[in-house]
Amino acid sequence: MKGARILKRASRRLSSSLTVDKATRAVAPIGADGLAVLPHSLPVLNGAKLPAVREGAQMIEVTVDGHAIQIESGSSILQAIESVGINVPRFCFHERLSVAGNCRMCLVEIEKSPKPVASCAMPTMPGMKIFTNSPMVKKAREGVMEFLLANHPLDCPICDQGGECDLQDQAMLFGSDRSRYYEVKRAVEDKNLGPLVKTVMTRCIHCTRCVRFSQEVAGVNMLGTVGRGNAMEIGTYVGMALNSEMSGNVVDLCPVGALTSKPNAFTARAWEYRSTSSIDVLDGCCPSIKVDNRGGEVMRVQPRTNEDVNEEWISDKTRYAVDGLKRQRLDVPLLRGADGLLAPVDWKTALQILADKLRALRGDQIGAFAGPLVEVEALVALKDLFNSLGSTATFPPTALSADLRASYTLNSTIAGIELCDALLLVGTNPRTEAPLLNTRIRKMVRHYDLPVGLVGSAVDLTYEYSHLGTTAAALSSLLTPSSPFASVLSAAKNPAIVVGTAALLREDGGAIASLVRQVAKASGAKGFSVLHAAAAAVGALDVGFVPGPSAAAPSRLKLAYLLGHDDLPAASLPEDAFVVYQGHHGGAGAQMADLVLPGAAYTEKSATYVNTEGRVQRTAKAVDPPGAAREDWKIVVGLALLAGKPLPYESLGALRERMASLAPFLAAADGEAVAPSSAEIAAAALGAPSAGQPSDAPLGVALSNFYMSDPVSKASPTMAKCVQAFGTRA
Amino acid sequence: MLALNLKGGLRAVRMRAAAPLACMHRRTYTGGLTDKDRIFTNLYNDTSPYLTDARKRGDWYMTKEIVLLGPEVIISEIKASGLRGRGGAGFPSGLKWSFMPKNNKETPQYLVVNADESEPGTCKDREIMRHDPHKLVEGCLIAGVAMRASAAYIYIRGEFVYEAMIMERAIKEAYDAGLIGKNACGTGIDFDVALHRGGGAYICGEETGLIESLEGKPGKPRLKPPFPANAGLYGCPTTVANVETVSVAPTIMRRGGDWFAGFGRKNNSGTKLFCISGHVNNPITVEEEMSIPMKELLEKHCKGVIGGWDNLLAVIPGGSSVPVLTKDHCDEALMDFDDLKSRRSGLGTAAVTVFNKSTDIVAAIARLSKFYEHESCGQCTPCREGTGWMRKIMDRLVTGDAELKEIDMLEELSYQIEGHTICALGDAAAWPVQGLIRAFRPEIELRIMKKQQGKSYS
Amino acid sequence: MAGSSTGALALRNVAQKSIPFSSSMVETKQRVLSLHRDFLRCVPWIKRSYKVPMSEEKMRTLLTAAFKEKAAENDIHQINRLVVKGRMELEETMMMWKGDSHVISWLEEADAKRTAAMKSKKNEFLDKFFNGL
Repeated sequence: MKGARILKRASRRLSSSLTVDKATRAVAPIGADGLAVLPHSLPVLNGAKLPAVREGAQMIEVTVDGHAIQIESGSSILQAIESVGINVPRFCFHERLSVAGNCRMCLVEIEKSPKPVASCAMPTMPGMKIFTNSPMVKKAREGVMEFLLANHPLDCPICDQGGECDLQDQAMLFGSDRSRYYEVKRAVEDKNLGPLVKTVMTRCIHCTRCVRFSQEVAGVNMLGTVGRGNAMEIGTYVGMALNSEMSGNVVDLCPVGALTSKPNAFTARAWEYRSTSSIDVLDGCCPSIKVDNRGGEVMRVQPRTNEDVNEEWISDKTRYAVDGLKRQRLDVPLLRGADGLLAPVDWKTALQILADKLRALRGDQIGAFAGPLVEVEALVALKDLFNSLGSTATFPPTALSADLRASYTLNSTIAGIELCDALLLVGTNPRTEAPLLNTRIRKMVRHYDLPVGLVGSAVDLTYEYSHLGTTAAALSSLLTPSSPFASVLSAAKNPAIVVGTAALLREDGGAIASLVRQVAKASGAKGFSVLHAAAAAVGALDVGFVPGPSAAAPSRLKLAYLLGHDDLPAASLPEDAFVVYQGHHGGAGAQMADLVLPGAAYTEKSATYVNTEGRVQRTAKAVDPPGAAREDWKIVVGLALLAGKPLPYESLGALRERMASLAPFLAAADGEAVAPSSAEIAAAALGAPSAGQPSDAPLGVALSNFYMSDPVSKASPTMAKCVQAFGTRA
Repeated sequence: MLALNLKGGLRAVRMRAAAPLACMHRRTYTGGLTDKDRIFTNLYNDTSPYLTDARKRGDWYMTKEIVLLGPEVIISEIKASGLRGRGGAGFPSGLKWSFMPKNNKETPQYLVVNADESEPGTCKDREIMRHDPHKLVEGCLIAGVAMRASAAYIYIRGEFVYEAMIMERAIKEAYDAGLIGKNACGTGIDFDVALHRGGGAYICGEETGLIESLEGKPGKPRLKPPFPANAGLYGCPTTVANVETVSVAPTIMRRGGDWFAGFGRKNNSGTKLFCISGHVNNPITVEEEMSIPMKELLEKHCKGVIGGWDNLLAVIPGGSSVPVLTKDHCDEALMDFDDLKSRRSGLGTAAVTVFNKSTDIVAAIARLSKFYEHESCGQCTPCREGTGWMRKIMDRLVTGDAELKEIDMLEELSYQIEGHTICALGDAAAWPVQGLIRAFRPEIELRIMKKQQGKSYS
Repeated sequence: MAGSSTGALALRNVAQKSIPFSSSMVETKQRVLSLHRDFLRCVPWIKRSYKVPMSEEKMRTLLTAAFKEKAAENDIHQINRLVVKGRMELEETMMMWKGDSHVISWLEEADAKRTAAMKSKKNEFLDKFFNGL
């Protein structure tokens, strides 16, 4: 308590003095040591979050620039300094990577130490006196900065990193305004790392962040250093591409312009972007992203830090599929004419035609199918419209039982994977279905030797796991205590079982689910977790977008309403069925449709999504929908008005109130509230009765092509290049 | 003109040299080490390096009894002998060995012998390994027992093919004779010795770089802490020791720490292998008493400097990484850690490189800069960028193609490298340049001025 | 009531109050409310002077509606601009710089717009939708 108070006081005092400690340092621009007094210790404004103290941690007292603070023992000096809100310059250090200590930018002075020490690597000792603003520190930083700039090319004007470059920023603070280096600068040949990462290796400062990322987080031993001394180069050993589903993150990690985004090369400068904080919906985890747009065009996507979901990473699909938002867009309503071709019509005509059809048909003749990217708002509106028309034929993206929330969400939660001590994966490839979950699992395997078992096709998950079998028979064998992995599961205190949708959506999905339940019961697991690859899946089940008992089979429908649904085989509908496609991309669904209603993509609307663990989050509108495209819920509400069944809401607020009345947790879409199911509820989910025997067919995976799994990524030229370079990752 | 300026410069240097540098030792060290007190009695391969002859020289005599004394006694004896590490840094060996965990039941502990002798001018470990390998093998056992290690790895420089063959044979002999391996020397202690041939890089001689290389990774020094005594080879407690340090341990144990401490000045005790090269009439590796005056060392064993003592220009007293000493210092310098340190140089590996007045000293140091640029591992910024930069400036200084202010800049650069790097290679690269500027600044200035004058007249 | 209808008090409200631009929202809000109040207070005088064939009640409603039309405005610069323009309008009206028809036609147009809006409210959503609003 007292420590926290001291800390608060210290950080307040530090931030009030802003640049230098006024008590000790003159205001003159030249210090007593003959060096310019530069703002070496910039407080992180509004930052300085008090670090959460781990339970049972021993606190020690250290002094930072004369301010005594309490810090957890074992913390690095850098953490101690940051905890009082002083910024330490660094290039190689990154919170989520191992410490390399090779850039030497974070040098600070320690009392009684003759040399400055690298604060990122040195642990604190009780009573340590740390100085971040002494002449020694200043000299060291200026020296290191000079060395870094010596061989760095002067191509900032044509460098894509310009404006968001750590080296640029820190050179402004710690560098000299002119060079003493008159020798020839080093030049390094660029490497070809594939279609996503562009390299200009001459700019590299050898911080090895990318090397550590690829080895530690991405789990591909592809990047490394070759050569030594001034001739050291970063590269793949034999000129391969950086083959990883997480490769784009090295672009964010690179503190200079050595690794930049290839699809975005030379398109925009950092200061031209308008950023919108949003979430991504191209996989079931819904990671937090920042959508950067310029002139009404989404230029790029970058991750936002969200400890609960994506930490600091996003997958390549999330990052690079956004160029698909500019391709094959539906921007005007289309009606199939007598010649069999789709021709543009205006909204009034389009909706009137559809409304007349709906009026003419009975409730059991119409059905709605939701796709993988549909938001909760549109689902609720469409469900309400269909219910008022007397139809319950609303088919969700993943047809699971919506009775108990614990039976279709990822109960363990994404971050909760870090708490489990044994993990069983059934019929899933988390590397493609949820790359961010996979990096978490890899982290646990790497640091804590988490035992992982997999039932399903043997895929490369970037970590070691025991492959228990490809068919459901392997699950039955887990029920016999003699099998090795069964004993691992039962010995674990908090085992987790993650089931892919591929296993549950099969004909014998019920039987497999029942087997999984038995395994969970036998091992003492708290329920089992379902891993959805589609962002719309959990939201649809949450609002009851599921077929009612009286719902007609697709083959008996006269009108099929495809809400962003592209995978319905034309053969499953009768020949004369009127097909409506509402969505943003002209894919398979639009091609078989008689009427196409252009909707908005996830960057063009504020929409609620529920991710695979049940976390309710909202996208934000970054740009306008193209052409005559409209937000999806508005299309449905307008249609309802014309069809004579007006819905009780005409504004987004009212619609969200309706959502909240269906599922109260949808009210606050702040992305915060998600908790693992309680033991009772999880147990109830385990208690469902079994149904039949599973077949001998091997368990598959949900995505046949990681890079092209949804309308947006299917339209993306960059994703097409990835498929060419890396294959489908299936 | 040149002579005049040089003389002026030297006077300035002399004036700058502080008076109290004159040695304060209690007795005069004549360096009269006799053969009976020499540890390495087969330094010149008078007899065979192998076991039979080694036993005749006294190796493996009463090893069992020494081993059975136990770690505490061995370490206290080494401490009493005042032995300081012979690899360059001169850290007290007994203290270093005592850092190893005492009650570690979980992991094995290792002794790693640094036989990656790559410092230019140094050739002492090589002589030990090719002519007296059993001293090293026996030393491994005794030092290993002292630090509770279960095995010793000898990391031998890759270029030492012949030495590696001899070492391998010596190790095999020791195994066959039951001296090491299971129940070594009949003590009931199991101790293994393995030879590993390095890939050949100077940086692999740095203790953590050596460990990395031994583990099969690129030899890039690790961050400290954690120190190897806590987490070294494969994460286990490890001590890295120089060949000479390990090899003298058996003799110290047999003859007693007092005997060893009787040589040399206080805190600089013992005998030492000196490798003298350069402009002497008889370059030689010789075992001598510590604190022997440099002049005596050169006169007595090397038949003097080529052209006489007055023809001496400078001496690098401890391998390429220590600053060069001018003749005035050489007149009085004692070859030990403290005296050389007080002259802002160092004993290092005791590889004495002698330059007479025929030397282009700037070119000589420029060559060293080139060496360090080539051998920098490239891991941390100051060393990677700084060594290359220094070399480029040094190359220009050789021809005088520079400006006067660049001398100050070069010195500042060297201080920007020194102390800011992960390992000591940055320091090692900086020191020769600093030493050169300190001692021979007028020479450099003269070259620059000459070049500039030539330019302006032409 | 009687006092305001004499016009003396009403004229007092005409002059530009305080600074023409305020930088804080709190201050701006007060200025908007003050302008609104001044308009309402002047209604009896306007009705008499310009012979407006409308009840005072209705005039007040229309004036208030004109204010409410801009209720969504949250750019402080825009609000300040509107306040200044409103003051000008009030000043012009009170100084009799306008003709009868100016004032009456503004009120009648506002009335017509309001009735039309109330009539079409039912299809407002669809109108907006079809117009892409």
